[in-house]
Amino acid sequence: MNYPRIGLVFGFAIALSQCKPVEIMPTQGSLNVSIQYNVDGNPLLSDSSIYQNAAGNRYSINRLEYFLSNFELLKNDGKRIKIKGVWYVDAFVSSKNTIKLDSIPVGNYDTLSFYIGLDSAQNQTNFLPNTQENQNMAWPTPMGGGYHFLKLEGYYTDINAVKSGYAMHLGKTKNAVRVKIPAQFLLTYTNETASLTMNINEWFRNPNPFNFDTDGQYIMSVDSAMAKIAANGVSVFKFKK
Amino acid sequence: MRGWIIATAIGLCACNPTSQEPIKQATPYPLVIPPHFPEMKVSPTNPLTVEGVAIGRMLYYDTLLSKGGPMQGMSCSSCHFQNQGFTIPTNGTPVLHHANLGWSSNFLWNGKISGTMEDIMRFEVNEFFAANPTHLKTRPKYLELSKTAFGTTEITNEIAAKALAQFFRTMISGNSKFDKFLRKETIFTQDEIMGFNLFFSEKGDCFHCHSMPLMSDYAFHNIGLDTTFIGAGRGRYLVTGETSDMGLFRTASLRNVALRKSFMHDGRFKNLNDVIEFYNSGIQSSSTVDPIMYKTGGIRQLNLSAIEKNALLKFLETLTDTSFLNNPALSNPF
Repeated sequence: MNYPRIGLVFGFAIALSQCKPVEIMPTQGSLNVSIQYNVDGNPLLSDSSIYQNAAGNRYSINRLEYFLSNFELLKNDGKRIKIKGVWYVDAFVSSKNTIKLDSIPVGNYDTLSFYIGLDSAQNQTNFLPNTQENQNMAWPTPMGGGYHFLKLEGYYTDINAVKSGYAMHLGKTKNAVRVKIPAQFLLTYTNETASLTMNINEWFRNPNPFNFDTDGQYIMSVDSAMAKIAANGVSVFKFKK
Repeated sequence: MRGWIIATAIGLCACNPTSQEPIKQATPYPLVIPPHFPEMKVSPTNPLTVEGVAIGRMLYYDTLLSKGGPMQGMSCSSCHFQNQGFTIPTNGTPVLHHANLGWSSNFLWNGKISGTMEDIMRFEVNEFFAANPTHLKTRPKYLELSKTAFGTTEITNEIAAKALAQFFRTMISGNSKFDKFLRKETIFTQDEIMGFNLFFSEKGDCFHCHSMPLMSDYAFHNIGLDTTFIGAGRGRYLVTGETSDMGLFRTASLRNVALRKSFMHDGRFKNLNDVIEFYNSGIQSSSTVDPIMYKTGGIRQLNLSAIEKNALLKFLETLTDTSFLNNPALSNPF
């Protein structure tokens, strides 16, 4: 009997039994963000609901489409995580209200920032993939080209108590809305969820109370009116995880 | 001995199941999408094949489709003439033209049918024409092509609908002067340029509904034709029952619009000058008129000059696509 050899075999067996599969901790995760809406706490309903903005206009909403882009997460150590991508959102189409932010390093985060709209490189005619959605958001070349950043449309009761329409169409690179909001959370592993909630009344509130009767019910190509709406857009979203 | 071997060989050949005529593989159809057009969504269960498209093309022109039904004696081509951009050459009730429908998911003026091209073709075959496959089977070519295209020697209403859907997806109009202008293959006249700029600016504001390059958003709008709505004029409301849909109709594409003899869902306008004048000065307010038909101060008036109106007309004429009107692949195969 070859005892040393048997001992070696046992030794290996014992050593192997001590081995556990090495757990590889994920270093990156993703954040699935659902986008939700309210109007000062009231649910968003197409056409039927009547809301009131800061200027006192009573209004309804029947279209809300926009682009989100250039997401950045700021870590509490000061590190900045950029996430590439442009997302088309239609508030009234459920499948168009989730976005997935991929390849995010795990860790603690403090702040989320992004554009409602596009940056100067993206806001060029035919820059985005040639889909019907993107084509319908095109900002015509004779008006400068690029894309609508926002289409918010509906009806309101005007100063003469007559039902009228409004169309808040935002475009031109200088009117891209840079949103920067608190987003304190710990991303631990692969698939996590969060929400962005838009209070639509904020488009008409701060810092520029917007009155359809005096500021205009149709703002496309009206630079002063677009600038007001763009400034208000900074505070329309809140983040929650 | 030798004779036995030969006899056995013949017997084996006869028993070989592969000696039956093999089913020919369908040939993928080389669909060419203009480079400036969006991607077309094609059902994975109904990919385009040369043979499937051929059946669809035949059906489009074949009165057997309606034999025995309420539309007896008619085919699609009875109202959709290729040289008119696949619409009717008269000035009665307008017939929606057939071009670029492969990009739409809403069909008919009020969107009675929504979904895929197969869905609208099922409606056309089963309800509009009330097709009876027994009559279609009398044309051997359908059975022959169906064997290759769909793997069966049957021609059913479902196969007819799928084949028509395939053919409709090939009905692409994307080579007009306007398209060539976009591709920088030609230049516009001064009038056409002025019209283009009016169309795609706030002055004319046509582009929100007639968006490039399909010249339709295929969505529903009340453009302010009426203040009250009765009968078919109730539009989308007849489908949804929603009061907010009263008077809404699907945006018609402007492709080949200059060839049409009547305009709007009820054919009330008989020429493009009248249409332009309507948008210029005739929009009427109602509770459902589209929000973008308003400008600050109320319902919009374009206040176009005669020169501007003429320029718009000239631009619209650039949407005529003669290669589409004369495309032999879309013509009557009989």
